Amino acid sequence: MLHVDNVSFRYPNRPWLFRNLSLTIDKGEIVGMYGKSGIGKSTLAKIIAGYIKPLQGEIRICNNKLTGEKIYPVQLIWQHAELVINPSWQMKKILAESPYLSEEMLSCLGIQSSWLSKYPHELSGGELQRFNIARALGTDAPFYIADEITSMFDAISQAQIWHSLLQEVEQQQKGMLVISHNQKLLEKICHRIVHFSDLAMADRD
Amino acid sequence: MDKSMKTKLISKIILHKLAKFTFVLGGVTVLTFIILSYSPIDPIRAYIGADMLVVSEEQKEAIADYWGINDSKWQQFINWFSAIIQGDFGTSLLYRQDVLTIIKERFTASIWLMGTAWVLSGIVGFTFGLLAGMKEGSWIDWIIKNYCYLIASTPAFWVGILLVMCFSVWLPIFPVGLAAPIGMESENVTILDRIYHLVLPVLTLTIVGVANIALHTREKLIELLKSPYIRFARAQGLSGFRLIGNHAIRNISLPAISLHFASFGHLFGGAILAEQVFSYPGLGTTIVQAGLQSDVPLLLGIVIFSTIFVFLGNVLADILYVIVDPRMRESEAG
Amino acid sequence: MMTRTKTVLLEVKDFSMTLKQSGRTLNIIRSLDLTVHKQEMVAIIGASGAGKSILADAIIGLLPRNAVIEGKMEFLGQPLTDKLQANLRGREIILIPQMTNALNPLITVGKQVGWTVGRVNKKKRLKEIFQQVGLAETVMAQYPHELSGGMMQKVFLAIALASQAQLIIADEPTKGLDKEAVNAALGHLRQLADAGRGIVLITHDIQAAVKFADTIVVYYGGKTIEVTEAANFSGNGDKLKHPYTRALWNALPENGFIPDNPMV
Repeated sequence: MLHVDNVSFRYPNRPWLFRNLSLTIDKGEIVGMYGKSGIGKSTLAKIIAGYIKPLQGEIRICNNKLTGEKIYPVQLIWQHAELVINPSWQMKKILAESPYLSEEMLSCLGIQSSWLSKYPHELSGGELQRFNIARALGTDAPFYIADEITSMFDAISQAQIWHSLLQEVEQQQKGMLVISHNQKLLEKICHRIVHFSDLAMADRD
Repeated sequence: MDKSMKTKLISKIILHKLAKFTFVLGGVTVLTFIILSYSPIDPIRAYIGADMLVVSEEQKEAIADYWGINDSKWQQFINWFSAIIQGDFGTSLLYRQDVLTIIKERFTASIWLMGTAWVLSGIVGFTFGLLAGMKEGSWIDWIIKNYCYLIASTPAFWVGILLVMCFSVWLPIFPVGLAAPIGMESENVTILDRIYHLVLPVLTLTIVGVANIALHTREKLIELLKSPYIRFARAQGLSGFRLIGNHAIRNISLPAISLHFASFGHLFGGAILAEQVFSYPGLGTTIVQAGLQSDVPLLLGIVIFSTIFVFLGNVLADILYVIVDPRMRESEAG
Repeated sequence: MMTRTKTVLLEVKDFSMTLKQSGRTLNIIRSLDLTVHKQEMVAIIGASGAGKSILADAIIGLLPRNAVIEGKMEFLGQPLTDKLQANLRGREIILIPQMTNALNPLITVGKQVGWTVGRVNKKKRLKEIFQQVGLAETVMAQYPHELSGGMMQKVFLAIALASQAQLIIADEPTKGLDKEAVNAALGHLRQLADAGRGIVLITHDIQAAVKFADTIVVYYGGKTIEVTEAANFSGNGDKLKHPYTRALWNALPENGFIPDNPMV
């Protein structure tokens, strides 16, 4: 079980973005989250995935506080694949960073073996995003966060990417937080949907 | 963000930089001192010069004692450093004059050279960058770009020598060197004389200084012209110089000026070479002499001074960013 | 429903574009069609790379220099030449790009809206327009990053109003906005259409397109695949003619979430 426990955060010299925010995600559970633009969803995602330290509160898995693990147990799948993939590496080198990738997983994600010898600029955005997902899944982390990972694609590509991602996640009983403005999508794929502003506890000022 | 916050932020930056500066300066002084202490040149020989043969051993000892040469290196450093703190930079061995007085005098000469070249290369470089960026892919762009690559890999002294050959030797328009006509009393030297002697050294530094700023401006402009808001502005009907004037000048010029401030180090390095070629009596020629003849107090003095000079440029660059970009003010506030 | 007697604002027929790049010729767009009437909102949907934004740039005259275009492109019956485009740009035809990053971050909002207003009575008209869209006058002195999403919508509405353009091309204007903001922004555009202007809405958001537009045009791989009334996007998509359009409709999470692309 992933616990986000009373986490508070603000950027320097700005008002609190959120205070005492709590959320739990179970193993095998897919939780959807929506909320207004600019309200702090992506910041929260980065905090849970260990990119930013919260000012108060902590992130725990079961009862262990997360500190400096080799592979962080919460993996963030970024929105813009092209920004987080080294443009001068062949795709297979990019995947080599994830130790637990299997052939099976790649084919499930719809990654064709001919793509492996290509460079990022030779692939479309949708194809790159599949690699981005594969790279995260290949860490075998127990929890994932998907922050608007398909909003820039057409409906068919969106459906394709989600089908393969969900299959992997469900098969291996991973937990996942899905952040999106598309409530219809969340209704379709999530076990439970939360509104961002309902997560923070009472003392909002 | 209001004014008082802006002032607060700037003073915060200055304080932060000041702390950093203390470390840098400490490092630079220690390092220079260590390097100089291993110099093969005997300071006594350097001090006495040609009279070495006629000076007795006892006299040499007395001189060594007087300058503190027999103390441990550590003791020498302490002595020197505590004097510096009190504003006493010591006496130059070469000129037998107070180090600060020499620096002040030489720097005044250098500042004319460096300042003019700095302003000129800024203006010319920025214009070149704008032209090349606006006409990306055209022949103008090709010429400017390749000129900059060529210049960026050309040392300043070589440009200086070329200029002397062209404009002093083949076409004797400008003097070969110095800051004033030879043999003229300093009170008789007019402003015009000085400007006349400055032309070639300034030109050297300007030619060399253009490359960085032009390439930077070109890159930035090309990037900017691809941005969504330029597309939007063009779709609103803005074009040509009105587009560049409204959007580019503000967005590009201030990073460019900042970069230009941050290039004080390059400028100083270039000035040392240019002054050397033209025998221009500025800080550059002085530091070379001090180095070659082991004039430790003078050399250390100039090193400290130039560190301050370069650091000042960097601080100005950082402050400018904050003043100009409303977004920087917020992110820097942290 | 749309009556065909309305004036045709923009007509694009069999538009194609090739790019000449270091000796090679790249065929980017093969055959695109688009007709926009007054009071009509036409949404263009389709996969990335279908040529949606390029068409927008072509209409407004902002294609790169190495682009070669062919086909018919007329505004109010007049062929859109370079010269005409330069005259119409910002006056009769205006582009609204993705709202979240379309303003120069270093220039105040008032100044940027002001470019569209024109020089006559600038201050007075600016004040009127800001009032009209419900923005405080103080917003003029603010910088884009200081505005909330909702305020930003109003700024773009102000620009559209200021231009008095007859044709508004909105290129993914609501990308990255939450649902309420999307509805507000497209609602404003809808009002402008109802008041007599023509709107082209380029988007990935089929739900929003169906909700606000009259006509939906589907592009795929640089070609027009289908032009249909928005109302035809309903049920199982039986009223849609092309299999790709049907596939897009049925790939929506609320319509079956079917991940099949009939084009490959």
